[in-house]
Amino acid sequence: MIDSPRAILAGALSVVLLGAILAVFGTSGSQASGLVTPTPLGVATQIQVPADVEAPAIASFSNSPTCYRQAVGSGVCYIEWSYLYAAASSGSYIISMTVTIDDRLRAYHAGFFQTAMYVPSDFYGTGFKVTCGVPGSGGVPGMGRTYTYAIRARETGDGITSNTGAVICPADEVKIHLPLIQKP
Amino acid sequence: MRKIALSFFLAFLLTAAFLSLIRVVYGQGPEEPDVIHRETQGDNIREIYAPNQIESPQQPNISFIDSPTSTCYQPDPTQDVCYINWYYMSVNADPNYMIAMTVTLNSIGVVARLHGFFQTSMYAPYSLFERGFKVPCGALNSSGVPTLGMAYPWTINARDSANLKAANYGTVYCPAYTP
Repeated sequence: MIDSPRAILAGALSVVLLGAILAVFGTSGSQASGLVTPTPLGVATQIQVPADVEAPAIASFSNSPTCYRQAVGSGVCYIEWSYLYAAASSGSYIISMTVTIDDRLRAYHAGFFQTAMYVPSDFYGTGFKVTCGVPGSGGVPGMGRTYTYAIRARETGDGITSNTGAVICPADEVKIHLPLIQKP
Repeated sequence: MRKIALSFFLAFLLTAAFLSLIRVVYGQGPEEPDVIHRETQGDNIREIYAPNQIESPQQPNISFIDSPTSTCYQPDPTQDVCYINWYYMSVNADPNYMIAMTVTLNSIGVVARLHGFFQTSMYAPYSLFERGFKVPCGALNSSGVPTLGMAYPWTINARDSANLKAANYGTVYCPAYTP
């Protein structure tokens, strides 16, 4: 039994100290595992917020931009992402998210009372149709054209986020096989 | 004296009958439904309402319709063909049954009607409509927004077995077709 008031006070203080230490560790741990994402070469994430807001909170991710050729000899490739995602800052709604390929708007997503927006890969069917290009046309030997893209999201608090990058397509040319007709 | 009193009484009766007739006829006209909950966010509106024939409850069983991420996309930039779709549509009326949910593109009409079948909720993922609803993308500025194509206002309605209704109203913009 502890009946000294000093001992009780010392015990209480040590519990409070221990809690504070654990809280500090918890905070730094969650920061370490939070929104830090590896940025691949040629991909940039930019967040713009009003000047009076200290920390940018709107965030967006565009995972695994891909260009694939479905049928050899068609010259047609498709661009898609494994997913697109945008999250608004606290108390804000997502207004829109757009997909632009080579400065052409290809998709417009409108928010409806939502704080986050998620678009899976199969949402666009086969993806966005582009020309594959001949080998070397994108500056990479053996590969086809290079396309730039931008994913931009906007929220109600005037915050804007954008993901920009480039995707290289496999090379492919249109091959037309004419029927072989023999002279009579 | 008696004749005057009788004529006054008759005139009073006639006036009362006439006024009540006007009131009956006026009452038969279209009335606004009783809106129970209504929220707005920019141009987006969602509401729950009850027709006037039924008494609107304080706590309706039908929920707001959840219809996030209305989308218009252009798969092939060489064609004036866009597709409109939603990530999903969801509504719950438990313990009532869901009767129906309809999707309307206001300039085109009803494009989908989902029927309830002994179910208290209704969920329609984007894949239910395959690529989505095919629409013309439109030329640049055709919606009044210089960087975009056509604008398509839309409405999603839902009704439960207690005849309570939920509705979402919004607008989706399409990429422009620039040949």
